This record gives sequence, structure tokens and C-alpha cells, in this order.
Amino acid sequence: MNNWTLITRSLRFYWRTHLGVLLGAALGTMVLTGSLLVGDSVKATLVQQAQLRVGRVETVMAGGDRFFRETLAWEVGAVPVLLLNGSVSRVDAAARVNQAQVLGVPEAFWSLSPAGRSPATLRESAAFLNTRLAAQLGLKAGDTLVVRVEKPGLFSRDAPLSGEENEVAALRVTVAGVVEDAHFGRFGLQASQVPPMSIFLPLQGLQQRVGLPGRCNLLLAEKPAPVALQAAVQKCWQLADAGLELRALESGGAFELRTERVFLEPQIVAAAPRGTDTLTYLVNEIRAGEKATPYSMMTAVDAPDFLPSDLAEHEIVLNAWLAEDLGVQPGDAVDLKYFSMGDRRKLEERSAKFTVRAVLPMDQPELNGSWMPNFPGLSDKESCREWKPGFDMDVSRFRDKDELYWKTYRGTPKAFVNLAAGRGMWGNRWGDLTAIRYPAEGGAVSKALLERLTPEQAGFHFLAFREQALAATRAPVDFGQLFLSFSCFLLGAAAVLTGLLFAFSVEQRQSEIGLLLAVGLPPARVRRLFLCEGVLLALIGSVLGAGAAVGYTRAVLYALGTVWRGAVGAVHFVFAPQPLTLLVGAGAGVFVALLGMSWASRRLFKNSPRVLLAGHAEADPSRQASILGPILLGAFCLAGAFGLAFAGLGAESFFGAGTLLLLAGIFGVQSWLRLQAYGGAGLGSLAEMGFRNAARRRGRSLATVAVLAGGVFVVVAVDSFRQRPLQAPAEESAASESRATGTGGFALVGESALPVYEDLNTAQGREAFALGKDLEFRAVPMRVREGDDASCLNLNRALQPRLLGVNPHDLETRGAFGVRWRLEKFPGWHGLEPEAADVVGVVDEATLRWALQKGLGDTLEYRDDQGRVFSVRLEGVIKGSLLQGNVLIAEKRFTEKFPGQGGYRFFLIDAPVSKAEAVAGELSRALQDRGLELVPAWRRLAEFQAVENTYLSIFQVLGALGVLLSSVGVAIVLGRNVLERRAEFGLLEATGFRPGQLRLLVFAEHCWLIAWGLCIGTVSAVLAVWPSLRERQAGFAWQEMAGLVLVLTAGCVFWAWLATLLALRGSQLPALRSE
Amino acid sequence: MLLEIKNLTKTYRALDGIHAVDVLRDLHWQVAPGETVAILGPSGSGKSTLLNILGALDRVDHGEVWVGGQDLAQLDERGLALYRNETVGFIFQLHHLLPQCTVLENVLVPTLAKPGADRGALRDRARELLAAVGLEHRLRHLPGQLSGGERQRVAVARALIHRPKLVLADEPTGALDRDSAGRLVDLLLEINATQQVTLVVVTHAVDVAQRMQRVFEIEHGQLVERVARE
Repeated sequence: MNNWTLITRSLRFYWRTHLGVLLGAALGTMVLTGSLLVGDSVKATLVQQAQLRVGRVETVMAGGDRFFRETLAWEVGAVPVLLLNGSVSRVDAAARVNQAQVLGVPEAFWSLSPAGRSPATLRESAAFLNTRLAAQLGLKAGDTLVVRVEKPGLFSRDAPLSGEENEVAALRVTVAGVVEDAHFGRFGLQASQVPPMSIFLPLQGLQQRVGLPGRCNLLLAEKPAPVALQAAVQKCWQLADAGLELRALESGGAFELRTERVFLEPQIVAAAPRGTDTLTYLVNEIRAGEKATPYSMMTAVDAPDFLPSDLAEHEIVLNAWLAEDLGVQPGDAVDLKYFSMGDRRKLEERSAKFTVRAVLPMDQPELNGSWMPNFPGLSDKESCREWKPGFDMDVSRFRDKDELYWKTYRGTPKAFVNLAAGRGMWGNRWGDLTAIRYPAEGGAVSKALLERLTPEQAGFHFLAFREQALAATRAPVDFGQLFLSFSCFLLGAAAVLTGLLFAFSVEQRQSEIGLLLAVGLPPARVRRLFLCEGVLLALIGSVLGAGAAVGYTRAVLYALGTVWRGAVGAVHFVFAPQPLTLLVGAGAGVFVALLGMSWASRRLFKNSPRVLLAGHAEADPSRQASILGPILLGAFCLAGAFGLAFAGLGAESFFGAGTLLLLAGIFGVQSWLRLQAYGGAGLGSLAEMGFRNAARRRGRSLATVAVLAGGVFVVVAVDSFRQRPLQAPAEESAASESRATGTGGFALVGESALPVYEDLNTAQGREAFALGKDLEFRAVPMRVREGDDASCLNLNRALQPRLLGVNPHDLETRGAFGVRWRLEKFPGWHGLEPEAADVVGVVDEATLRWALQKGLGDTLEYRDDQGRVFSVRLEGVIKGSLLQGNVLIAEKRFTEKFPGQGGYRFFLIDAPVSKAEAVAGELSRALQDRGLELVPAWRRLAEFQAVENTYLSIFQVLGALGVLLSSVGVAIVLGRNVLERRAEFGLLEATGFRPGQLRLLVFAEHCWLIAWGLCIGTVSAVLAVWPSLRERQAGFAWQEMAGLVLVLTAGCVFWAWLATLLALRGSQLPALRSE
Repeated sequence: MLLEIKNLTKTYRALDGIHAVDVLRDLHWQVAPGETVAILGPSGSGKSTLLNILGALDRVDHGEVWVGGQDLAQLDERGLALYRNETVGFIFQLHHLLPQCTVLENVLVPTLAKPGADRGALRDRARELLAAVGLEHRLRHLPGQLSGGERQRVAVARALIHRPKLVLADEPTGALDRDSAGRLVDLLLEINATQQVTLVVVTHAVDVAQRMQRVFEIEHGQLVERVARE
């Protein structure tokens, strides 16, 4: 005989009694392990998705709107891709997707896919669609579709003289097949659990159709690390890859460095060897008195070889043609008019006055067309009347002589000023030079420039694609922890139930404890013996629970993919249990069960052996506890609750007050139970007898009340945080009132696949899209720098959230979205543009807290167009807005950092509520080629709120399960109480009580406990969330909350009644007889 | 003296904490080693309370209880456990056998308190004791398979496993028929004679009491010696 023998014998002998403990432990372990397994599975799903997204690609070089030679990719052993945004529609226009990813891919692209091979050969005019796009459009192999993509402008279309060609190319292609995830169906640069909608076209075909033959903007490499890839690219790097050209000039073997982007960017100028800087521009008019020459090329250059070496800033040199046209001589004054770029692509005509210093003869060798850069819409035109420079040009002003000049001299400048004067007039954010001239040795210039100019400076980004994809799977929300916290109450209820059942079992064996004490075993040892038994039970239970956790996890994953899909989107989760998690979950399950058992049985072992041997542990008068303690504690908590509630400290203090009130209620019940145990003058009624009986097992009764109150507190409090479903605002007046809400008072929100360059608020802009002048709307356009979606719709970690560039004035004048700043010095939305050159960002509160896990004052790092790292300091938040997932910065800062990023792609639209739908329809139709998609603002906000509500639903469902378990606990307590008092009931029956009366007595006795629990839980929950309830006086559904409490009450009462019926079946007299 | 009580008082208080009953009042008592003593008295007179105090199952309110040279009031929990394990053997009216353990294991239960003890020797001793009480053929039976008298004999063997100086028996024959009760008393006296164990028996049964060397009765919280055995 040893301890082990005693324990194992006891386990076998009392197996029926232990069954409940075992099941309780199994339940706790199931919930705990299941929650962790959900975390494992979500993580595994994200990792799997990331691996499918990146395939065999390790690193990428992304150019965005910069295009390198396709050959470069082959030279470094990588695969070139042309990646564009576009819209895709069925030929019958029955379905359309505006935000599609259009990929021009070579055959080698597929070798990098997870499957490592091409799904089929992609012929000319054929395309593969990924599953999501095919499903969205309802297309299959053999169907025809239309793809619309913007013909990428090498020069920002925001810039003056950027041309105005029809920038949209429409491609009609046949669906060759639908590619699954294994064939790069998930390929994309941004991490998201929802794959992009992708269409794959043959590379060469797409290149031709968008006017970029032999050019790509994405390079995929299988092996090298970013640094190695960068080195390899640098080695094979040519000027053409940076959009540069070193052109031989006609005169004297000289060379000129120029760029496809028209203006040489500052970093190029900085890297280039020193030469003669030139700036050529189209001026609107050169006038001398009544005579004016329209639309002429002018060059700013410091060229002492053919211009006066001391040419001053106010002096101008004309060519003979112009001097004759204007009838001026040296010393005369001329006026210039030219456009400079204002906000929103608004051209501001400015003027300058110059004095003619000299006149150059037309046979001067330097007077030639080489000065003119390749302005889109100008250089290639036969007639100057065909010019499309990108602004409204009055072609009627062209005279025949102008036409003749263009035909004879092409872009030969009609006038020259010095460089400083030219820069002052025509310099802009894209640059202030159009060329640098070198006297000779073009090869040396090229070599020197390529050595100094890195691909990153030229705007190419090297990404550790796989590494970043896997890093993004470290989701900001750990679903394991999330479900664990959601299940905490259920877990607690399971632990309490386990503890109670164990305590019942131990109480049943109290004489055994008494005996072991009587024969000399120290109390701690006896307790250890029993707890060892408990540990073994918990171990068995946890093994069973770990097994059941597999089913629980599958059920939760199924729910996440169906009824709770609002939280995660349409994701098919893989079930990926980790052995270590099972082990940890089972271990933690044992610990929790042991905790419950140890707590529930702690008092029993404090009884004297005599009391235990007599089997009267529960009736031991020495256990009479003072009521002073709980009364004092209760009063303290009550005072604290009132103090916090009236302190006016905000919502948090109310939550604290509610929690304290909950504790005060529980202490109050404890005092009441203790008071009952002191007895009284006599039993006056059956109800009094019921009270006395409830006080007989104070621990059980208090546990019942506390668990029920806690459960109801959680469920009711969580319900009050639920956002009520948003609906379309009904009244016109709602807009001004709702400016500070999540919609900002806007009627519509939308995004376009391609940038919109026109200002939709101007007549000119509306005219460009044939929009009716009487269409009532005002737009707040925003620039977009693509990045990770940092909204709650994305499960992945947003490493670089999307940037939106907004004009603060647009939001400030409307008072839209109440922004809260970290520092008071920022006044409203103008805080986005502090005096210092800092880039200040505003984010949605949920994005800041959950997706970014940052605080105000923290920074995010980005790379600008020149490859330089800059920080966005998060200084302000907006609460619960439809701008969730983005970082808002001032448009001014945006264009400074990303001058190449032209146009607007994100729109907030003000429109009368009654006309919002019509406006949405008209705008979507008019901007169809730009892929504009508008939705009611309230609906977009509702999508975000649905995520929050789904999380709350999960919390509530698990909380309600906890309450259900607690009510089952009440039933078990009731059954146990009846079992222990069978003889007592027999006695009552013997004295004339009918069985029905006995049932009523027992039922009423336990209903008191249920009532206490529900009341305390509900009242304290209402106090805890009072500010939230008051805020939503109109929107909060009191009836819903009352219904919830009623359902919980009904559940508890049902279990109590069922237990009463089962426990008090038949006559209790035999129990009396057996005594 | 093996056992000496001085000024012992034990009071039970009512639920209101005010009303109280002195069950034992300023009691003095002595028992010599090897004596057999019976304590008689009506229900509620304090017999079992006295026995519980002697067995360290209950604490005194006032006074001293010396057993084998140690004052029980001065012992801490650990000391009391050791005292219960080594100095006394307790026989209860309801025997309190562990239903999940065999007869042999039940006898060995007190040995669990001494993890370092020689298990083999103890097992032999348990077998001897069970043979002495006539249960050598029931070693592997569970208590549920024994008669009331047999269960009580197992309890006697369990009380003797650690060779106690003092055996306390609380109504040992209360749940037995006359024949079984007679055989159990024979057994207790035989053990007293052979193992020089002091025996204190609380009983209602006068015939059982009369077989002890000294007989006491509790009256008004005091022990009064009534009859002495020839």
C-alpha cells in the first residue's frame, strides 16, 4: 500500500463521481486548446496564402510607374513582368471589375509559380484569369472579355506639357483558362487574405498595346537576396533602364543627357557629371506691344559660346524669326506668358518682362530643334495645330507663319534666357532641367552616371518579397489569443464547474479525509493525495479535451468561414494543429482544472478530523464566518463604483464602476448568505426555509451567483458595444449633423482603377467626362500611394499602409471627420501641413491600435520616388471612420515625396441624400474608363462595423456558452443539494408535504440564486456601458438587451426546473427510512 | 501515568455565539499504562468529545492533556499528526474503512504517513494483525464484501498497525450484534493482554464496560468512577 495505490484505487472506485470532473476538465481543455488551435490554423492559413502568393520568388524589383528594359531582367537571371492596374468587363457589359491587376507575363513567369509550370500556353490575344476574377465576372475558358488599362505615361500626367493622348487602351481577349492558387492565382505585391483579381496576358502583347515595347516595371528573382539582386542590376544597369538617353547632337560631336520623363529629376542631375544645364519650355505668348507670337519654345541656358556671357536675368535673346515677327530690336521690351502648375493640375498663366539683349541669326549653328525635349503630344505632330500639350490651347491663334516655322524649324527655340531666369519661371516639382549638354565623350558621361546613379535613386524598390510576405503573416490580431480572450468566461465557467464537481466528490468522501487525518496523515498530505487524484482526472480529461479540441477548432473555423465570415472575409481556412499547441493546451487545461479543484476544495480540508469523520463538514459551527468582511468589502466596492461613475472621467471609469458594482453585488450576496447561516428566531415560511437552505452551502451558492453574474455582465456589456446596422440617412439635414461621424457626412466613397487627373469640381473637369452641369455633387479627391490594406478587413500585418494625399482644406471647410490630435498645436485638418517640412499622418483609431499597433507620435517609414526613406509621424486619429486602413497625409507633402504619382484615385463625394444614387450611377458611367466604383459612404462604414460586430458576436456566443455552462452548473448544484438532503425531503414528506410542494421549494430556493446572479450582472453591465448607451440613445435597442437577458434567464430557469424534476422524482420517504 | 488530564474544559457554543454548553468542565483524570478503561454515559454527556480530545481529533478550550509525556495542547498540526499516527490507535463505531481499498490495504492506510518505512515489514505486520483478528483469509476482499463484525475487526487491526501505546475505541460494538460485539471485546482484551496496550472504550453497553478494569461515567462534565473489574 502506498500513495499511488490509494490514488489509483480511489480513481477506479469513484469513477462515476469522477466522470463529471473529468468532463469539466475536458471541456476546459477543449476550449483552451481549441482557441490556440484556431490561432495555429489562422496562422498556417496566412502562411500558406503567403507562400502561394510569392511562389518561388524570393526578391523583386518594383518600378511602379517606371519602366526598365525587359532585357535587364533576363541579364540578371530574373523574370520581367509588366504590372498595371485596369478594369475588366464582359463583352456583353453584364459584369465589370474596376480594380483588377493586369499582368503581362512571359512564359518563364509560370516557372516561379508554386506549381513551377505553366497551366497552358498563353497565345496572343488570350488571357488567364485567376479564380476570383473569373468568379466575379462569371467567365470561363473560351469566353471573351475587355481589359482597359491606362497607357502608362512616362511623364507624370499631372505635369504641364504632359500631353493629352487618349491614355486608355482597350484590349479584347479570350479567356484561355482559369488559374488556381498553385499557378499564381494569388500573385500580388500586397499581403491580404483575399487574393487580388488578376488577369494574365502575354508580356509582348501587353507591352505593344500600352505602348511600352520591351519595357517592364516588375522584376522577379528566384534566388538572390535584395542586396545581391541590387548588385546584379547595378552591374547590368543602363541609362535606358532609368528612362535616360545620351543623345549625340548634330553640332561638334556633343552629347545631351535627357529623359523620357521630360524633366530631369534632382537625383539624376545630382548624379550626372557637370555639363551645360538646359531648360526648354513652351511659353504661351511672346508679345511686344500689339504684336504677339503664340506658343513658342524657349530655352534657358548659360551658354557663353553663342549667348552673351553676361546675359542678365531680365534679358532675352531672340532668334531672327521672332525678332522680325514682333518687330523688335535689342533694347526693346517683350512680355512672356507661360503656364505654371498650381494645385489640382490647375494651370496658372503667369507673365514676365524681358529686355531684348540680342538677336541670333537663323543660320546660327546652335539654333536647331535639338533643344526641345520629347514633349508628349507635341514632338511627333506634323502640324502645330495638332498639338495636344495637356492644357487647353487656342489653336486658332496659330498663324500660317507659325505652321511654317514648325515645319521648317520644328522645336528650335525662338528665344533664350539665362538658366536662373528659366528655372524661376518654369521649374516645378518634377525638375528644373530638361537636358544636360556635354561637349564630347558620351561614353565617359554614361559610365560616370551609371556608376553614381543607383536603381533605387531612379525609383526602383528592391523587396525581400518572400521575407516580407511571411513577416506579414505575423498578424496584428493573434487569433489564438483572441479566441482565448473571447473564451475566457467559458473557460472560467468550465473551471468553476470542474472545481464544484470535484468538491462534491471530495465532500462525499469527507469521512475518508477524516480517517486519513485521524490515522496521522498531515492535512497538507491528505489534500495532496486528493489533488493528485484530481490531477490524474484532469490529465485524462485534458487528453479527451485535446481530442475534442480538434472538433471545436474545426467548428470555429467553419463558423469563421460562414456565419462569422464578416470578421475575416471569404477565406478558406486550413486546419493545421501543431503538436506543441496540443501539448501546451492540454497542460494548461490540467492547470486550470487543478486551479478550480484546489480552490473549490480548499475549505473542506480545513475541517477537524472529528467533523469530517462525522460527515458534517458543511454544518460545522466553527465555520461560522463573520459577515463584517464581505459587508466592508461590498461597501468599499459600492463606494468606488459611485465614485468612478460620478467622477466624470469618461467611458473607462464607467466600465470600472460597473466592475466594482459587480463585485459589490457578489460581496453583498456573500454577506446575505452568511447572515442567513446565523439562523433566526424560527422559520416563518417556506421562502425563509429556502433562503436558509441557500445559505447552507455558501460556497456553492456564491459560486453559482458569481459565475452567473459574471457571465451576464460579459454578455450584456458586449452587446451594448455592438454597432447597430447602418442605414442610408433619411433626411437632407443629416449631412451637416453627420460631418463628425464615421462617414464624414459624405454621401459616397469610391476608388478608381486608373488615376483621374481632372478636377471634377470644375466645369472643365466635368466637361472632360461629359458630366451634366446640373449634376449636384462636390468631390474631395485624394491621391493614392499603394500600400498594404491596414483595415480590419485584412488579417495580415500591414507593413506599409496605403497613403492618401488629401488637401486639408477640403476636409477642414466641411468639418468632416472629427480629427483628434496628439498635440493641441495642430488646428483641425490643417495640422496635416505643419510649418516644418514634417510629414504628418492621420489614421483611423482602429487602424492605429489594431492593425499598426502603434500610438500617436509613432512613425511609419516609406520610400519616396527617389528611393529616400522618409517618416510619416502619426499625430492624429479619427474615430470609427470609412477611412480605416489608410494613412492620410497632406497632398502637398504627398506630391513632394511622390512627384511621379499623378492624378487622384480615391474620392469622397458630397451629394444630396435623395440624389446620391443618381450621382453614383452617373459618375460611374462617365468615369467607366477610369474604373471608378462608388458606394454609399454609410455602406462602406457598415462593412467595417460588420467586422467589429462579428468579433463581438463571437465574444457573445462564447460568453453565452459560458452562461449556459453556468446554468448547467446551477442544475448540477441543485441536483447535488437534493441528493444530500434526500432524507430531509423524506422528513418533510413524512410531515405532510406533497412532492409538488417539495419541488417548488427546491426550485424557488435555486431561483433566488439565479435571480441574484442575473440582477447583479445586468445592473452592473448597464452601469459599465452607460456612456455608450447614452451616446446611442436613438440607436440603442433596449428591447434587444432585455430580450437577451430574458433568454439567459429562461435558459437558467429551464435547467433549474429540469434538475428539480429529475432530482425529486417519486417519493423521498425511502431515503428517510434508510437513515 | 500514560494519560493525565488537568482542568479540562470543552464548550460548545450555539450559532448565535452567546449561548454555550460546557460538555466537559474542569475535568481531571489519569490512566496508567496497560489499563483497560470504559467510559459510560448518556448521549450528549461528552464521552465522544473526551475520546476525540484524547485522540487529538478535537482541541481543548482550557486545561492540559498529557499522553505519553507530551501535552497535546502544545503540539502543532505536524506534531498532532505524528501523535495520531504513532501514539494512538482509533477504533470508530462506523469503522470508516476505505471502500476502494482491500482489507490488507485498509490496515496499511496509517503507514502512508511514513513514506520511508519498511513496506515489507509493515505488510507482514498487517498480515499478522489480520490473522490475529481472524481475517487472514479475507486479505484481498473489499470492505463491501465483509460483515459488520469483520469490518470492525479490520478497524482494530488498522488501529494497531503502528503499535500504539493507547487504543481509543468509540462505541466499537455499537453497530454489531451481541455475538459479534462479544467477540470484538474478547479481541480487544486479548490485544491489551498480549501487547500491553492501554485501552479506553466509550460505550453505551454496560456489559462491555464491565469487562474493563475501570469504569467511569460522565456526569455534569466530570468523570466519576463507578465499578472496578475483579
